[in-house]
Amino acid sequence: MKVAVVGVGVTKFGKLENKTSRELFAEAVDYALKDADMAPKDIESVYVGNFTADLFEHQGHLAPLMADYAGLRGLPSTRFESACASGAAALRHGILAILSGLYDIVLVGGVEKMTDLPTTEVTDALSIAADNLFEASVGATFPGEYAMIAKAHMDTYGTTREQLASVAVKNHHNGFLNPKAHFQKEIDVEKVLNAPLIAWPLGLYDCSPISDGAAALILAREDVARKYTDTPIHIVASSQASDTVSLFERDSLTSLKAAKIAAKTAYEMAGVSSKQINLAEVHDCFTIAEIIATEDLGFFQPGEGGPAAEQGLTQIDGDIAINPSGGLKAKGHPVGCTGVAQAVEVSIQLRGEAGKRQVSGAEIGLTHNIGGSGATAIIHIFRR
Amino acid sequence: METDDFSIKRFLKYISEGELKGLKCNKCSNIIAPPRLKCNICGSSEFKWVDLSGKSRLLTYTIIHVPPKKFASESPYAIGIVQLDEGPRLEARITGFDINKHAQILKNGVELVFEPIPSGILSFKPLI
Repeated sequence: MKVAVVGVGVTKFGKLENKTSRELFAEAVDYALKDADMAPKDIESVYVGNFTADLFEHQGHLAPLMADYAGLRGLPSTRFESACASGAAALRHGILAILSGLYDIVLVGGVEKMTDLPTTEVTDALSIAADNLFEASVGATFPGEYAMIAKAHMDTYGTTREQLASVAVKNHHNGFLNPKAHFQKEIDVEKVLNAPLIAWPLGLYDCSPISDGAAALILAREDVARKYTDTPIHIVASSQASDTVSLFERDSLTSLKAAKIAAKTAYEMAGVSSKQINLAEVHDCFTIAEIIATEDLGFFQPGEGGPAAEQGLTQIDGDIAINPSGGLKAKGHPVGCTGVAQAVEVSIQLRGEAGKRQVSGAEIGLTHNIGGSGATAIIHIFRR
Repeated sequence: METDDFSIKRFLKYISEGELKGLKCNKCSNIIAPPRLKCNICGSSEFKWVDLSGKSRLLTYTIIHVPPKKFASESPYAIGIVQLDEGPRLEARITGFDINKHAQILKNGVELVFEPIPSGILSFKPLI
C-alpha cells in the first residue's frame, strides 16, 4: 500500500466534564497538525469516526461540525458509523481515498463524548449496536453478549475468571504507564474477582469504562510523506469483514469469524505472519474480548489465550505485547474514537516514542477494532 | 392474517401471543426462525408457518445485573442462547428456576422448553 501516517494526536481520555465532542476533536486535530508540522490548508479531506453522538449528545451531522471547529471548514467531511469499530472504518476510508488517487493528504479523526448521560442511559445507547428486535428486546446488554461469549469459552476450553482478571490487571498496569489513559492505577486479581457483577461471569473490572476522548491521524501518500516527517509509519494492510449482528446466529460462540477473516486478509496483504507482529492494540471492550482477539489473530491457539495472559506472555516485555496503551480496559473506550486511538498508539510505538510503555525494538504493529459483539471487524497493519 | 405474511412482525406477534412458530421452506423443508426473505439453504421464498416444539438446548447464558432502563425492575435475570430441536438458534430469557442456583441448574446443554411469560418476551425454562 502507498499510505503513511505522518501526524498523530490524542486527547486525555476520561470523564472530561467541561469538554464537548467538537472541542475534543479540535484538540486532537491540533496535536496531529503540530506533530506533522502542517497547516490546516495542507489537509484535503476529513473522515470522522463516531458511534452515536446522536444519542450521547443529541447531535447528528457530525463531520462538518467537527471539521469546522478543528479549523478545517470547507473540506469534504464525512462521518463513519460502525458501532465500536467506527474509528477504524473512518481510517480505512481515509486510506481508500488516498489509494483512489483523489487526495495526497487526509485527516482521520475519531470522537465520542459519553459521560453527559447517566450510566443506565449509556447502557441503552450502546445496546443499539446489537440486534434490536432479537437481542436488546429480550433484555440483553453489551456486557451480557460478551458474558455469553465468556461462558461459552469457559465451557469449551476451561478458561477461568482468574485468567480474565489477568487481562484487566495487565491493562491497568499499562494504563498506569500512559499519561493519556482514563485509569492510571494498578489493580490486582483479587480486586477484579471481588468487584460487583455486571453480567455474570463478568464483573466491573472485566468491562471497559465509559470515557470521553478524541484522536486524530494525518495520512499522506508515501511519496509526499517524507516532506513532513523523517519517521513515516507505513500502513501495509487494511482489511474488513462482517458477520451477523446477532450473536445467536453465529457459527461459533468462542471466536469472532469476521476477525479471523479480516486477520487472514490483512496478513496476506502485508506479506507477514502473526509471528512477525511485535505489538497489537486489540479490542478489549471486555477482558474475554482480548483473550479471543489474541486467538483470532493467530498469536495463540484457540483456548490458549487465557493461559497465555495469565502467564504474562502478553505483557509489554512478553512474547507479543498486547495493548501496551492500556487498551480499551484502562486507556478508556470512547467508542467511535477507539479505532483511531489504537492506530495512534501503534504509530507512537513504531516511532519509538512511547516512553515508559515502549515495546522494545517494535517494527510491525497491528490494530484490531471490533463493532458490536463481532459483526464488524477491521484490522490494520503498520510498519516503521 | 394474510396467508403470505411471513414477516418478522408476524413471528414476534406469535411469540407475544404465546406461540412459537417458524417458517418451513416448501422446497427443502428447512426450518427458519427468525424469518428471512429467502431460505438460507436453498434460496426459495415459498414458506408455510409451522408450530415449533419449543424443545431446545442451552448453548450459553449470562445473568444480567446491570439491565437496560426498560428492564430495570427485573434484574437480576438470565439471558441465554438456545438451539431449538428443529435447528434454529434464538436469544431469550431463561425463566422458571431459582436464579441463585443458576450455576447448578443451567449447565451447558441443559434441556429447555418454550415458556410464554406475561410480558410477551421470548422465554424458555429448564426441564428440571
